[in-house]
Amino acid sequence: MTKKEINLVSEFSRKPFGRYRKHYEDRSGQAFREDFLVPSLKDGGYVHVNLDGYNRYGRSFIDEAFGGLIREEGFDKKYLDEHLTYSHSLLDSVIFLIKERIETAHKDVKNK
Amino acid sequence: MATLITSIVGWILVGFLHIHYLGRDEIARKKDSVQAELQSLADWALDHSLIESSSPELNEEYLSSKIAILELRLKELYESYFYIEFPYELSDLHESVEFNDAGDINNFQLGIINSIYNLKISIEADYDHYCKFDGSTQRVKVNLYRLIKNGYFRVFMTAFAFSFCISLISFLIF
Repeated sequence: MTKKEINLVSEFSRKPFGRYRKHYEDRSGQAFREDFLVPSLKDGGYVHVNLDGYNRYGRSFIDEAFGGLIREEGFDKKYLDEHLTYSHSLLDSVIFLIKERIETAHKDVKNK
Repeated sequence: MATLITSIVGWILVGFLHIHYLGRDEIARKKDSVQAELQSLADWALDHSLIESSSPELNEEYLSSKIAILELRLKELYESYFYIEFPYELSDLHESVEFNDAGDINNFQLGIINSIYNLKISIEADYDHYCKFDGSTQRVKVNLYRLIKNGYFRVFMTAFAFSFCISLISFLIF
């Protein structure tokens, strides 16, 4: 199956910020997850998220967008490890933050 | 003849010391600049009333901006000056700024201060290791490589050759 690449800044928002759609509308983590990630990941799709072009990703955005895939959408961590990749050419801390948020969401769901 | 040899040896020694100490001063300045940036982040994090009075959006913008700047500066310090890949994760600095009560702020402060000072200590230790590199010859080679890469070597060699020629001419005349 072909891999879909999502360029977050050019396709979603030039200034992604915040957690919930009710506060930050179409630039929130919830909006990115629901409008871009979930439709691409469901039914076995492969997705690569390119985060280049913006350098101030907040923890709340990352947590809701990526951690929410497990907490809110019910994806399995193993499935995400196989079907979801992401990159930022300048900042490794963003990549580690995404991994950490996915891992934390997995542990939270497991401990429920 | 002895004077000529002494002059040549003297100039080579001056060149060696110039490369050796120029490199170390520049690296110390870069390292101190990064440490100052980390300290300013620590000072902000310790200001309980400032964090409490600011909106979560402002706190998160400030924090994520600082972390991005720090990461770029630290990568430059390690890769361009220490010649090693930056070995630490900065994701620990991305503490949550979504506070429900004063306890959350205290936890935030504790977490981020811990991460910042661990990083500051690690940077100092890596700098000390760089200064105590096995054999100063290796450090000179690293500094020489950087000078050539940055184009400063051409300027340095031009000045060096010029002053050497003046010394040689003075020697021959007198």
